[in-house]
Amino acid sequence: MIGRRLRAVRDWLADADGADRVVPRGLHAGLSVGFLAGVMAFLAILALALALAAGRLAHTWESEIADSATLQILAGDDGIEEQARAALNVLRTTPGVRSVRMVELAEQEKLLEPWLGPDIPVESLPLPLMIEVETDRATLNLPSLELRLQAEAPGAVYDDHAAWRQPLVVTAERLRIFAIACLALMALALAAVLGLAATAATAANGSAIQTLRLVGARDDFIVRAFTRRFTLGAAAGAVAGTVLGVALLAVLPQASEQGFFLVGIGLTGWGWAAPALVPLAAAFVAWAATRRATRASLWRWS
Amino acid sequence: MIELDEAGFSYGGTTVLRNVSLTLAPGSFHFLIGPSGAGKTTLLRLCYMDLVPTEGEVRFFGSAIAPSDRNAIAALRRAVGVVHQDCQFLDHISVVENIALPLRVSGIPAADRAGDIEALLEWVDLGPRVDARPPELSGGERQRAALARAVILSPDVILADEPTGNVDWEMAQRLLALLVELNRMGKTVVIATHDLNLIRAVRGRVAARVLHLADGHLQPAGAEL
Repeated sequence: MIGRRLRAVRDWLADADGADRVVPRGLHAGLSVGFLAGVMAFLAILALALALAAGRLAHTWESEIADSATLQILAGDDGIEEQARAALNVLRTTPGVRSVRMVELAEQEKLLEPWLGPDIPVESLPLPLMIEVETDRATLNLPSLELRLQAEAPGAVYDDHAAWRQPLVVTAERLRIFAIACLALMALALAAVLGLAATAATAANGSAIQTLRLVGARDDFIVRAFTRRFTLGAAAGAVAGTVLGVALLAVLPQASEQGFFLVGIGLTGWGWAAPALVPLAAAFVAWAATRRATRASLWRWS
Repeated sequence: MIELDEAGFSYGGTTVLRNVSLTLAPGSFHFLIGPSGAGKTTLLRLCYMDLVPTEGEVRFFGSAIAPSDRNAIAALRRAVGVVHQDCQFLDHISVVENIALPLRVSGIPAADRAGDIEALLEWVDLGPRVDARPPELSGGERQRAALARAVILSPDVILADEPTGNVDWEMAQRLLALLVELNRMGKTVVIATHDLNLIRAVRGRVAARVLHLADGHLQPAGAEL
């Protein structure tokens, strides 16, 4: 079954029945189809990269950042060291806490520098002590941890970043859906335009179709002739558009594995294989749209 | 082979043919004559389902074909060779490719029938013109190429619509001789023409029946030559 289908596709590509020869070549129409498919493929590559980057970002915020938290000790100078020790003790004895690390003052200064500027004497500010915590969400009992901290280190404030992380995850997810919707719209637009082009082509080649019917051509044969022409034209244009799109992504700043959004709307790892699907998808859309439009035209003429 | 049973055809309120009953028997030879606009072309088009009768019925090889059955109509067209007055070629491919077009649409590789194509080209005397494009051919060459294309699948019926309309008398006689030869091979031949000299030209060479169309009516009895 599969072998027969593969043979049919191979024969179709090789134009085994010579259907392609019977349709007059329209240079202008061919170039238009190729150009249109090329532009669509180029835009599709950008939308695809956006979708993948947004997905990566959402995943990072959802999983990796979600496993990190910050503990701030806001007590006054006299009790801060003691509360920090107590908080560290609580954290180290809590199941689900993988690691804890005191954030050095120099690190805090570095973090604040972009916001306050290099000339502000950060050391004079009443900065809290900060502890970076890595957790395992599956085993951590957060309410229990918060109760213990409240009892043993009342100046400690546990922040798992949920307040700012969740809206960002939602935004990234919506961005991904938006990019996927753009891809779908491009496919629909390509199908609509190629459908119109195929209808126009059948109308323009009315006398050729009449001749083919006169000598006993089945509608399948005529449809094959038109779909092959349009599909290969669209595929060639889409390959060119894809190459351009990938080249553009390649010269953009590379996306890091952490997927920080503004670092690059690019492709990483296996993501570089995804653009190969674009010409295939364009060819399939062209084939389906042309086939449908040509069949409809032939039926109307009947 | 082809039977018209009280067939008629109207288009946009105008009746072109009415109440036509006719049987094209195997191996018969018919001339379809009548003035321009009498309905000769319409009658021929009914015979290869290029048109569907608006009244009555047309049966092909014993049965009617539904207009929606596109594959059956395509199969009928392969069993009925048609020669148009304007030939209807694909101008972007060569003469030999046009002649071999019925093979191509039937899925028969032209290479498998190379001998037949060669013999056919010789028969219609187009050997030196095989690589020419149809617009480069003279009127007579075009008609002979159209005839070669009509018979390449060895159809049982050959319908020719004014095949000599655009050629001189000498070429008309050559074309007629080819059609007579096909009839002698057992093919049913129908020639629509307004040129009565053609009928006189075949006198004594073939048993032809003359069908006279006037105002959409087929005259009750054709004259035997």
